[in-house]
Amino acid sequence: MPANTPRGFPYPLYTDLANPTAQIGAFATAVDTDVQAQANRISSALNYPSVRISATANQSIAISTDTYCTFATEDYDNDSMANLGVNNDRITFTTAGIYLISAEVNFVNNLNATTNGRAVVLVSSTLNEIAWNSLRGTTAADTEETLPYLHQATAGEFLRVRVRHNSGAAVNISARSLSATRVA
Amino acid sequence: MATTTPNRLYPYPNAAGDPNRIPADLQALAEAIDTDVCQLLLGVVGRPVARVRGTGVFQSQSAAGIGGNTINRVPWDTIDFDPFGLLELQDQTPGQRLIRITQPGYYMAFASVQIPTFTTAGVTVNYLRWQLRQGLSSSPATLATRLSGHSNNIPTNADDGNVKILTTAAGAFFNGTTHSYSVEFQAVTSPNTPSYPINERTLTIMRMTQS
Repeated sequence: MPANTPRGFPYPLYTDLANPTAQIGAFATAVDTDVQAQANRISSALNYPSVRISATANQSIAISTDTYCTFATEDYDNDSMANLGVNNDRITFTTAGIYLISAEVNFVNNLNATTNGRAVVLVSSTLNEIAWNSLRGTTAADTEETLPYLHQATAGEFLRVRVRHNSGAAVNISARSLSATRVA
Repeated sequence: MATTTPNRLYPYPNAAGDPNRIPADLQALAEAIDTDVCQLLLGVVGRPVARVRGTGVFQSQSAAGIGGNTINRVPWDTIDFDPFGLLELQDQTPGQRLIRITQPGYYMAFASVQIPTFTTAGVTVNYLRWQLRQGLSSSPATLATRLSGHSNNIPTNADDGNVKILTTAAGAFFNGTTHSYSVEFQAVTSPNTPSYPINERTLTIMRMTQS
């Protein structure tokens, strides 16, 4: 009866009947299976789940109203996190892990004298608001915000970008994107 | 007569093997495993990362450049680290200033800049913007696609310690041939005044996938 190393590689004992070709074959096959598993693991580590969705067309945001950003383009998605045809406002994590996230929104200036604030919030389906940023708007120039965040995600959880402003009139958002990449 | 394992193709004798060849068969198997494991370990070298820095003072253009003008691109001069050879600085003359990415994959990038107080008398700063874009090395003077950006409408002042730091970040796919980063700085002042000087800026990238 052959014995096994801690990794499961078989080797004959002195009490075993000598059958070198079969015993070498069993050893080779066990090493093959183990090394292939490590190769798969390395490949996965070098190709972690990553996604980017974006849009450029204007989306109107009413005064003092929480509004989720919508997206139009799946720029990259190697883990089926985006399905804009079904839900155009989110990414859904299909693999649990820790993700580096970056949301970006450009508020177009509306030339209204009342500028006030522009807020960007990352909203999780399980934890609600997880990160936010706000800036004072300006009358004659856009306001652009980047919101980076490290998030521990569960499979099935989805993430959206919510915006809000309290300018004196509706404000459009133009270029916007949501990126996420697993780091652990 | 040797056969091979299904995945890694290690050779081993089949049932009709010559018992007198056992040492040679074992040597062939051991060497095949050795070569394969060594090759595999070359891929276990940590996450490919790199950082490039611009150290010289860059002066902004007039507000006419706002909204996308390659003349807003900031120059780069120092690669702090790039152990995997991800970065290639392109022509750093005004209007070009791209950083080509040499290996394909999805990259997460962070771009930061230090913005000091604007000291020109009689000028009010209304707006500062820092943007990360993706351009093409094959067409270096063409406007690049915006990946992300961050702006600020409050001038740098003593409340900031006289230096404001803007950071923007984005993930995006790069094809490993022509796709390149460009980073832009823009300032709007009243009256319209070019030459807002900025100091050190960095672009840090992490390669997250291989295709």
